[in-house]
Amino acid sequence: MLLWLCFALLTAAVVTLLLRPLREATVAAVEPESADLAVYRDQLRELDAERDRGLLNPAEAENARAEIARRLLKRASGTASEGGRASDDAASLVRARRIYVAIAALLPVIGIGLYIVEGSPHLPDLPFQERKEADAGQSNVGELIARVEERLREHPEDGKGWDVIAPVYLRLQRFGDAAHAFAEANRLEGESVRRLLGFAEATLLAEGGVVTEPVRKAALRVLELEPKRIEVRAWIALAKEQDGDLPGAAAEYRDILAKAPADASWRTTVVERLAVVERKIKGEPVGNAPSAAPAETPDAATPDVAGMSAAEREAFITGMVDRLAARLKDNGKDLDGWIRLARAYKVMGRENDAEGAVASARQNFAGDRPALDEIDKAAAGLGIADPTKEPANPR
Amino acid sequence: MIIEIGHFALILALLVAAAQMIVPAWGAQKRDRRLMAFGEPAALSQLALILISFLALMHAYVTSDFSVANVAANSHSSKPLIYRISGVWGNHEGSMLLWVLILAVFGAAVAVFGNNLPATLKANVLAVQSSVAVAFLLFILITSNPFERLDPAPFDGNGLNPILQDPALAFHPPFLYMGYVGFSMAFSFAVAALIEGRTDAAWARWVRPWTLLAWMCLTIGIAMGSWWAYYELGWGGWWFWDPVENASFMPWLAGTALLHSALVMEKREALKVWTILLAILTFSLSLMGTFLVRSGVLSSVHAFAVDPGRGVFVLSIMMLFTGGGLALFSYRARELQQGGVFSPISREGALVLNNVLLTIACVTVLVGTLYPLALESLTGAKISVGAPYFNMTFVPLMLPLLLALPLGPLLAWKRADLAAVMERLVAAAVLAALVLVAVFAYAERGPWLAPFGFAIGVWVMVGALSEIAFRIKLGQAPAAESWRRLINLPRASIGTTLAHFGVGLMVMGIVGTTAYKSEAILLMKPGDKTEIAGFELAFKGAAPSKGPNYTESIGVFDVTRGGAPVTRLEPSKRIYDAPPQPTSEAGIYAAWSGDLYAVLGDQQPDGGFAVRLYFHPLVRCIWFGALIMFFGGAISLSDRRLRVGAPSRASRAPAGVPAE
Repeated sequence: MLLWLCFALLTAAVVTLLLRPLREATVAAVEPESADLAVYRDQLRELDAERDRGLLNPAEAENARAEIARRLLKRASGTASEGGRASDDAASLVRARRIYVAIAALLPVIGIGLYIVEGSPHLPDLPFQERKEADAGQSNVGELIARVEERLREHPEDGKGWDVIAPVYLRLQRFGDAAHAFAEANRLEGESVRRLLGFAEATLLAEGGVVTEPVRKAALRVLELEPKRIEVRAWIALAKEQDGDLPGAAAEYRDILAKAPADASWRTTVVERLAVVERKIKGEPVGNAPSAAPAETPDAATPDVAGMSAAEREAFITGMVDRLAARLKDNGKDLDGWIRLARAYKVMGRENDAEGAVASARQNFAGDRPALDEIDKAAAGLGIADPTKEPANPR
Repeated sequence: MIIEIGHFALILALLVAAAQMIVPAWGAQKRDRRLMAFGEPAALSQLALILISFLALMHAYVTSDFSVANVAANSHSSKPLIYRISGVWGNHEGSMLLWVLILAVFGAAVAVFGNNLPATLKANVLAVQSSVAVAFLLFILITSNPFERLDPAPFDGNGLNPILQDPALAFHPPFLYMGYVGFSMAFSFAVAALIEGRTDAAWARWVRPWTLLAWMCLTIGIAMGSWWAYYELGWGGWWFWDPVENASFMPWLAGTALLHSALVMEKREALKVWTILLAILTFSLSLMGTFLVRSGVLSSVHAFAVDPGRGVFVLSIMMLFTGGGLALFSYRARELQQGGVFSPISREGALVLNNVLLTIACVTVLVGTLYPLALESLTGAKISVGAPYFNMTFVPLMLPLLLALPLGPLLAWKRADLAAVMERLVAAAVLAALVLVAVFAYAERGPWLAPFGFAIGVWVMVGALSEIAFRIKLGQAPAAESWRRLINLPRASIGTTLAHFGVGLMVMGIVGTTAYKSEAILLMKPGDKTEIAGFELAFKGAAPSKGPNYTESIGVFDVTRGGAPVTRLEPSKRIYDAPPQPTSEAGIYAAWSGDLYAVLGDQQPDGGFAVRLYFHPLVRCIWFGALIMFFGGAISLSDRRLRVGAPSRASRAPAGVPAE
């Protein structure tokens, strides 16, 4: 109610202000001729001042005077002919009355009408501070997270906090945050298989299904701690596959299958992966076969990449790679990111894009020798040639 | 509730603007005083309404009201207050709201300060100005409404892009927009003059202060952007010929030309057609700048498809106003009578040269900016037009401009004596020659063009001062007499001198930093030492630290020169909390001779850091030059000559205050 009262007052104030000149009996106005004359008179005065300062010799000053005077005369004669066109007051009153009615009627109606279509009159303001206090009792997940986050910002050494929030992030698909939280928890609360697995999965998903070095190391560490977790080896196999070591990957997959229990839920995924790798070794087309994250970790059920159908998985991973690409487009100064992107493209069979990623990386780090060396090394590993060492490729 | 009042006020503002577009113009056509007078309260209430909605949005940002979609997308509860405020215009919707706010400020300024304008001209100007407002208010309400709400509201926002969390960037957009939008004034005056069919010396005099104000703001806005890019992006450069920069630079070039041609029109009633055309084109370039930056066309042609609504809308606004203005121009151009004649060697001639060169320079920048976009949309080929193109085209155009610059203000109107003018510039020429020789002797192995660059800078600076020296008869009259003359000098001529001096200073900075920059990119471990441009830097190591909404690692460099301690540089790498994004803060030591500039890179596996070190000689001169140009403009603007011409009001009104 108060809101509508405010609207009414605002509208009334505006309408009153607008209609004032229309209501007045006569209105003062600057006639064009008097405005012009004022300017020309000023110019004459300036001219005199300049002449007095000795900036103009008398002849020049006289010439300029004559010119301004001519303008003045022209203007004066011009207005004489326009003089008869002065407005008729009765007609003006009629026009003013029409506009008066139109504005007084239309402005509030159209204004409120548009607002009802566009606005959200039922929603109150929600300042952050008030909400924090009001919601202290009954909270939903998002607010709990925000509260833990705020605590962690102030006490980044609180390992328990990281431990609590990490799986929540993973479930919310905030993979980068999840990976960071798992890593912090692992560092502060001591290494555990659960945290390592969580870190590995989160990182893998954050990187668009590419097994990066930290993931591989985490997987190896899990195997050290708990050698029976054979499914973790699928990540190591995937890493080999992505690095181009296809026979090695195939051997690893076969070994996993040989040792895996027959009823393991992830068996089929490994079988599929192995089939893809074998086709690749034979040089058969595999389409845009995605790299999968085959292992299913006990804690983090979502999003279950292994359990997705091939098409879903493909869409999921393509989405991740695209996000990585978009991020790099915004911020190109991420060397690891570029190398990951190139590798992901390569794995997905998008050769041209992989080359493009390497080229962009070179562009972004032009002049940065150590970075360029690293890019070259990665490109060589992926079998992408350096365009500068070959005839230029006109793309 | 406050946010909804803001939304409603914006809708009302659209309606008021629509009325303001129609009623005063109708009144001017009928010569009806009541209708013409409608423009003033309309412009004022339009400003009040837009200000209410702007403040409502700002309130939402300051209180972190994440039920507002725009706030949730661009702010975060942990952001410091100043960036919550600047966050209002750190995003598309909010910045468009700032755009129309400034548009309304200019409209209201005409309503309040335009007492010297003839009623019909004022009415038409307000109507045209309001038509721009209608277009942009529609754009905001239809495609980019900052008052959209979220229900349920997220608990926290996404945060502002960390590289935008910076003081210079908090103030850069408002100034830039004041420049862009300020040229809408020139456009409105031009179109109003064409509607009335009268363009004369008086018109030029009325339009000049508005153009000058816009030009000043654009100058300082561009300089701030350049300064920000210099210290925040960590690339060590101050200008990149980036399309976004060019988008703001083109209106500046055209606006500078307009400023000078309006002078000729006022004094001699010459160059009328050209000045009107330039006024229309300058605003079109401003609109194009808005379009390029706002539509997402710049980062990629394909971003256009991301939100076709916005891009197409701004493009239509641009075509409507450019096309409409030019159509009216071609319809009326035949009726414009030519004014005074002049010989090629004269003040007018010099200003024509200035206009020709600035306009061609503007076209070269336009080509360099649009060609890659056009090529990509036609063939898909991606090319980038960079510094080499602009160095080959833009710089050679600036050379004659700079060489002729000191001559201009000394030449007489109509017909001038070049020999006499050269005589007054002897001091400047001699000093420039001395500098040329001195720089050659000092930096004998440096780039051979650089000393000439310095000489041109000195020529422009001393040449600008020579004009004042001549005007006050320095050395020819007793000191007391010269002093008296200096005091009595019109502020406009002091402004001219300062602005021209600023150009010279900027040239010195550009030449110095371009030709004599030293840079080193190296891997440093704690304890390592290196040397650059005579400074010894010892890297002490990097330490973590925590800011209000970021964590950073700060590298510490102790700088000594010949054993004596100079300063300690602390470049840092920051990771912001929301969104988690790294930025690098350069460590800069500013001295008169130049800036020592250090950027901390990534840590390498072996514990060393990639470190980039630069020495930029004289780089401060670039922004000092811009600042002096800004103040030159401000002093000029304060000249009473730009304000006078207030005539008495007709018919039973209280008499206007006489100006002098």
